[in-house]
Amino acid sequence: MITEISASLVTSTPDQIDASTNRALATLGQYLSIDRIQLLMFLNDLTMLRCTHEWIADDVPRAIDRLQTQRRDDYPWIFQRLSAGELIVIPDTRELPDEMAPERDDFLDHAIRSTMAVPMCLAGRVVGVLWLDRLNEPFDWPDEIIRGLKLVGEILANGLERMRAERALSESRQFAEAISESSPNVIYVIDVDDSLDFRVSYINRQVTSDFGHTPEEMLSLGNDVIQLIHPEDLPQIHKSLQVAVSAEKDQVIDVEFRVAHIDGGYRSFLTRNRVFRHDTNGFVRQIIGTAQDITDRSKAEEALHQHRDHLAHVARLGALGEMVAGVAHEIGQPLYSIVNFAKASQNILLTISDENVEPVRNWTQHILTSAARAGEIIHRLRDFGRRGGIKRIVNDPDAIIREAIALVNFAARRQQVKIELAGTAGECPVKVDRVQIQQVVVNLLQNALDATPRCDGNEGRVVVHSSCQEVAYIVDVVDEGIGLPSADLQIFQAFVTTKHHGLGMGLAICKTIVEDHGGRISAANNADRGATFRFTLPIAKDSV
Amino acid sequence: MTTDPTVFVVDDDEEARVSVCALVRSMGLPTKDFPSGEEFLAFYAAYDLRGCLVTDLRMLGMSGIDLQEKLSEMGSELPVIVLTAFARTPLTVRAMRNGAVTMLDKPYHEDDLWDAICKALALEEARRESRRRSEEIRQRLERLSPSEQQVLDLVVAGKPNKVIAKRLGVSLRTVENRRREVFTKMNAQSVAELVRLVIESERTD
Repeated sequence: MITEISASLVTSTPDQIDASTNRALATLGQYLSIDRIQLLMFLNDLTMLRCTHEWIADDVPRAIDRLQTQRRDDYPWIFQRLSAGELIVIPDTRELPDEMAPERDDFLDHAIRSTMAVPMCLAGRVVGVLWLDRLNEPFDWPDEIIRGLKLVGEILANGLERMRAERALSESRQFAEAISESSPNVIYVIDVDDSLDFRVSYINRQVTSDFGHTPEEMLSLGNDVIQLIHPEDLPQIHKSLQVAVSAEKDQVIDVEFRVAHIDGGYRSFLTRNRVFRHDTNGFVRQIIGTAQDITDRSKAEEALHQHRDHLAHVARLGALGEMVAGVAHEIGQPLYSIVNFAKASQNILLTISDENVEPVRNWTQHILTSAARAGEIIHRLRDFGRRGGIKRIVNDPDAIIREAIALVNFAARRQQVKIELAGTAGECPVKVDRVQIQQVVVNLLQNALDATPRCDGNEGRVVVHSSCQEVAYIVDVVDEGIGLPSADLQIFQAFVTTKHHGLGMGLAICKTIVEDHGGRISAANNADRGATFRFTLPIAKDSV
Repeated sequence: MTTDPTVFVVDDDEEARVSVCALVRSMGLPTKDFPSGEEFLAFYAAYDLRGCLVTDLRMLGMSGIDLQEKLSEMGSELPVIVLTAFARTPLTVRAMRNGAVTMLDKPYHEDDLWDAICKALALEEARRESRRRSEEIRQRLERLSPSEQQVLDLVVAGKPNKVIAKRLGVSLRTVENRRREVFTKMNAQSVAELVRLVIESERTD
């Protein structure tokens, strides 16, 4: 019988142990023909007993519920005996002496006539009690029962202890897992082999949202897990691993790298790694780590950098604006004199009727026209430093373009380039600042001229084309020049230039002006040769 | 001593100054130029100037606005054109408060400056004419005797002859005589014209 109990207990798993224990108690009870058998465990440093299992014969009342908190203070004699590892055998409770009156009355109150308690020991320490009751009549407990029960007690204690340990282990595992799974970061364990190859041996569920792979997929990747890492970051990881293998336990190593997300694209992670286990040779075998998705942070930092650059750019533009305003003033003074002298000369020349004077009179008019244009530019330049002062009125954009072409034509002829106005939009009201848009066209034409190679004999060509679409007026400036160097070059950014002595301001100003007007500007290389610059202007809704 | 209508030019930049003079002379008007506001003021004190003043705003020493304010304090009615590199709002407001001044962004269009000068000269001419006329009316008024003056005041106030006679304690006939005298001396054809003359004489007082 003892063998049977023992075998049943040893083979039971933690969740079966309660049933096995109950079965063992039943076997014992029936075998001994007693009324009740209980298993009580010591708690709180042997100051309390709690009944954990009970078997009862038919028609015998259960006692387990009232035996949950039996205190040493209430039953000093019993506790003293049991905690010392001594048996308690009471053939007839009525015959207990008067100094044991509390125990005697307690037994008799519950109809316990005969009782026996066997302490259960584990590694020389009392952990519990097997308690047997007979109701209604006295009983002489035979010696072999007593001996047998001692053995059973030990078996039960062992089984229960094993169960407790396993439960504790499983609980701590569950605890660790619960912590790990509730973490917003990826937590992983990496196994490292001699050749520094590594594989993931544990990873929490968070990986699914961060990497797009389930933990199972990650584990099944084995050594191929390395392929998820951005190639540029691999050298850094190998360096960190080399540090790790010679690291002390608990040393922390931070590594930042990018991991391919299943959706394509990479996300940045900051990982914090701790050496978890060395082998007997002191070689690192396991690393435990956490990975935090810092993609957004990286993006924010990147944005911050860009913002800083932009601010610096704005500051430069500000300084430039002041300088330009200063220069504009300096140039304005002599220009004012030029206008007055030219007008005075013209007035005098008008009083002379001589055909030799005729062209000079015309020239004075040219001087005045040019000066007026220079004056407008100076006014605009002055506004460059302080915004505003720009007059937007409904304009005929084709007229603006014709004027702009007229302004550049002289330079174009000198460079043997012909500027053609091919196709015009016709009626297309746009609300713009005439001079500003003219400046855009002049800048684009000037660039087109500069891009057109000078070859003797062959005349270059720049074609301006305008069209009026539903919501926008579109202007294309098409050249047959050298084209744009690279699609990546941000030609519309200030200080970016492809010219030998370019300031890199022309296109930046064009972009600012066009976008200020609610339009867009773009550039692309033509299929055959040269480039096309296009800008759009929104059509005025309430054209007056 | 009164000069012919002249454009006075004040600018510390010689080229600019000479260019304005060239422009004005080419239009057939005399000019006189000064390299500073101080020098112009010294000249102004000695003569009754006709014409207008063209001055730069920013100059070494006295600024164009300072010059205009000084002239205004001295009771000058000379129209002033102040040329600015560009009209800064506070200065413009200050200048406008003083009146009789045109702020002009240094013009690069051929006609702008000449137009401004013509307007200033026309303004000056109109003022001079109105001053001349009120002076003339005042002289006519001075020819009236004190009793005629009384009748004039009551006629202008819209009183009928009977009321005037009663108010002054004279006969209706006497009132009619004095009234006829007033119309003759004032060279007026109607009560309405008389009223206008009186108002014109008061305007420039």
